[in-house]
Amino acid sequence: MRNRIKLLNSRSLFTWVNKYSLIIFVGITFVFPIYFICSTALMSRDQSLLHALLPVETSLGNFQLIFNNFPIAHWIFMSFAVSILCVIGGVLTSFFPAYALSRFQWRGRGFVLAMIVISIMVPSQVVLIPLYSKFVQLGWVPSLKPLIVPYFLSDALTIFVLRQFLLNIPENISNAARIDGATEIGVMFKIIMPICAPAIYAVSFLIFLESWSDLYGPLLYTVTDENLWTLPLGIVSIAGLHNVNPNLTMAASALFMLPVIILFFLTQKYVISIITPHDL
Amino acid sequence: MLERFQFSNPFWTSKKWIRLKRFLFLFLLLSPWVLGWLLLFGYPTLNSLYISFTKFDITTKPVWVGFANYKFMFTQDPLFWIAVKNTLWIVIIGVPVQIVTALLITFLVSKSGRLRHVLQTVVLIPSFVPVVAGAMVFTYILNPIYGPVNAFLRLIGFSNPPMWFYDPQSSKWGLVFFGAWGVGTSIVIYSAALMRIPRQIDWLAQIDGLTEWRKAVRITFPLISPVIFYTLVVETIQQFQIFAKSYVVTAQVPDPENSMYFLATDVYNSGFKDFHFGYAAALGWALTILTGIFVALIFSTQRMWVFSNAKQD
Repeated sequence: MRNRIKLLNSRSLFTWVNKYSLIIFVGITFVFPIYFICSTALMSRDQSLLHALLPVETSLGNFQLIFNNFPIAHWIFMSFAVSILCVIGGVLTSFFPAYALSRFQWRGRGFVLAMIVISIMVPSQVVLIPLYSKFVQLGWVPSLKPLIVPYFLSDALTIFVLRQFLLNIPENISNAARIDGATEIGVMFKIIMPICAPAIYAVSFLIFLESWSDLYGPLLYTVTDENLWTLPLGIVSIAGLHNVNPNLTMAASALFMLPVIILFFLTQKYVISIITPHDL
Repeated sequence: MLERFQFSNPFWTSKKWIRLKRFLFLFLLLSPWVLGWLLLFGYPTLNSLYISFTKFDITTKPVWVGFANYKFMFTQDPLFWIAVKNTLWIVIIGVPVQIVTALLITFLVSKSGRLRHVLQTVVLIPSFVPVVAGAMVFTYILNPIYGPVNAFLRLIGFSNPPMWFYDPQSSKWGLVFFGAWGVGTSIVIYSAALMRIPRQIDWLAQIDGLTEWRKAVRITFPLISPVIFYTLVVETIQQFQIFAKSYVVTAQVPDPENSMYFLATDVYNSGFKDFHFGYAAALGWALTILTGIFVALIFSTQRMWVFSNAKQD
């Protein structure tokens, strides 16, 4: 039946070719900037200044240069340290509120959800100044603490995403465990948390991405102390005004992009299912 | 009677204790969020409202100045109006461009058969490329003289392609295209919504002989309008806070006419470059109120174009 209708509606070869050329065109357009980061990273400086499409002779010399001339190994280490701590803090402290918001019925649940939505919607520029002045008073500027500690006080968006996932786990699973004599804490850690693994991978990726690519935070809290720099600040400083060494900038950008892309391919399946809102 | 009383532990099995235990358990679970909300959102929001009425330089105590910051903002600060103009421009142009791009590509993805997953992954990756890396490569490929984009434009017949970030007239368009490059997440959201449309509706439309265009406008669009609405709200809020893109671009390309100077840039510069923290807090509130007005406007149009099942009951 479906095939018949398709046959009736199918058009000439022209539209078929057209469709595939469009798909290829869109695909190339989206990949193009990423391709350019990678290809320029392999070029000599002279060639990169001409914005050549293909490297004449590929070499990893640019990577050697950035490792020799900039403390990029240190930046990478700092970025990883900060991001991994943020992931641990964000996932741990967001799971429990999400659990309370999804697995139990209690008065005030709607109110708490509304508060979470409000804190997501209000621009971060509002809380910036008081937070900064508090961090200064605490003696946390310059240090990495202002970048990490907030994640240990739960992340609103992560709560939201985890809650969404937890709502879809049937309550009967918890009840079965309760009848078998499991405590509430046992149900949470031993039954529900393992089921949540895909969602936890996905939010870990999202928190990692957010903290890994964050520029605003480092710009406020660590910019004055070069020992505390993470990769985003480092790359902006490699580029400098007019970006006179695009080959080096792109090599650093490629390194910066690489972990995110790898993690994306590892968690892709989960990430795609988690960024789709289920309520709509 | 007495025996039963002794063995039944009146308190530990009483309803009161069970309810208290439950309350304590829930509160413990919620406590990280409660603490975080109060310390990182509730208190700072109120405090910044107070700071916006003061002269404040972090090191000394804030001094109350009444509406002076707001008065300065509206009457004396020329950069504020430039920032408002630029921010409104990038929201009003950038958000629709992103949504239309995402819709068109979603449509293409849905039609691409076996290439479906490949295409979806390809368009999704850019939205996970860190802004700093993305901004680096966009300033590079949008170079007016050597950049491959302009080379391509000249090839297909534009003798005078735009100067992109080097020209205040076209610099924001560069940022718009940069934004449209990262619409992968919207495409995933729209695709999922498309998948949920029952097959039968598709068949009925084909049997009734609806053209592709009519089907898209009359059937597909209303059915996915709730997710379009959702992305519209989210992207508007995000776009109002645009900062990192323009920061990284203007760190490489000088922007003497402030064509890429946005409200979030203004907050950053007033606070962390000029150390007028009271004024920066006032600017933060201006940004929030402007965002609030836009979000309210979007919500007020919801009934006109967002389809909901509830309406039919």
